[in-house]
Amino acid sequence: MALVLARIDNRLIHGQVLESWVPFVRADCIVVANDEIAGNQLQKLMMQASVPSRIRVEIGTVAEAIALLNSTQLDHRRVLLLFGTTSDAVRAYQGGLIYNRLNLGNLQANKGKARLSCTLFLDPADLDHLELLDQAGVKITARCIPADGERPWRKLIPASRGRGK
Amino acid sequence: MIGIVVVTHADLADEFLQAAELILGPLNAVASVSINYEMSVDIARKALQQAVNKVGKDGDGTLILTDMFGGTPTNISAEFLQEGVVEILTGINLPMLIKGAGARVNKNLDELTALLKDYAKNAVMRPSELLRSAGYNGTLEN
Repeated sequence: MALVLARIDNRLIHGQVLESWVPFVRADCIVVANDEIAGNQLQKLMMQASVPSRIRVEIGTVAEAIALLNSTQLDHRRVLLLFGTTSDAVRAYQGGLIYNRLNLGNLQANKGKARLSCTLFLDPADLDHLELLDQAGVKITARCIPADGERPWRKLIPASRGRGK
Repeated sequence: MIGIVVVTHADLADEFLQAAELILGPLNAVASVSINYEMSVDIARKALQQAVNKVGKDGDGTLILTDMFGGTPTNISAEFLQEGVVEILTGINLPMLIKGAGARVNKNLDELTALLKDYAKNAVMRPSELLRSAGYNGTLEN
């Protein structure tokens, strides 16, 4: 299995992922790791139906995604992995779903979170999660769609929350 | 590359482009012509002519996407029809525009137009049918 993109996107499978990222990374499999969506039948059905049939889709809990990606079921697949939250990403990593790079896509919030870019709003818990992954060696960058520039996540953070917090 | 011009009533055309670029990023050889109520047919025709010239300048042809068959944007566009050079599809939707922006690289104008006509129709979905086919009753009881 080739993990061609690991991304945090609270919209999970949506237009930017299907129309821009899938062709850009030439993915033939999308795995969603998010406990909330795993329990929402309507959203699950709609997301599954939105994906072209040549692309395999697996939508499950973080635990299910860890098991799936560590099995042989997706051998020969080019997998695009989606998390809904920074917590999903950390839980997956700590549970043995290892990725070297992490893309920050959409993490919008209305209030209580600091705006780091037009699509990224993070609170201190999010920053702790990213810090933890960064310390573990994951290269984290922000890039909403392939046409956007890629920026290291630390560059987005106000100085008071920079390196060596 | 085949050029694409979106032509609509009011500001839909501009907004369609904005929505497509939010998903795909900046697009080349795409233009919008928004026809407002204060705009004369002459001015609208000139604006469309300029847009067609601009996006079609490399000679691969131009596809005009309009909002509604029977409306002025379509009627004005029809004056530009020319086999192999300018084609029109009416009833634009976002899947039509997004697919067109990507699929035009390896198709000629006729193939692209035929593909998008079917694609855009099939992109109309009724989510409650998905539920029914999955064994639910059209609504969801969790």
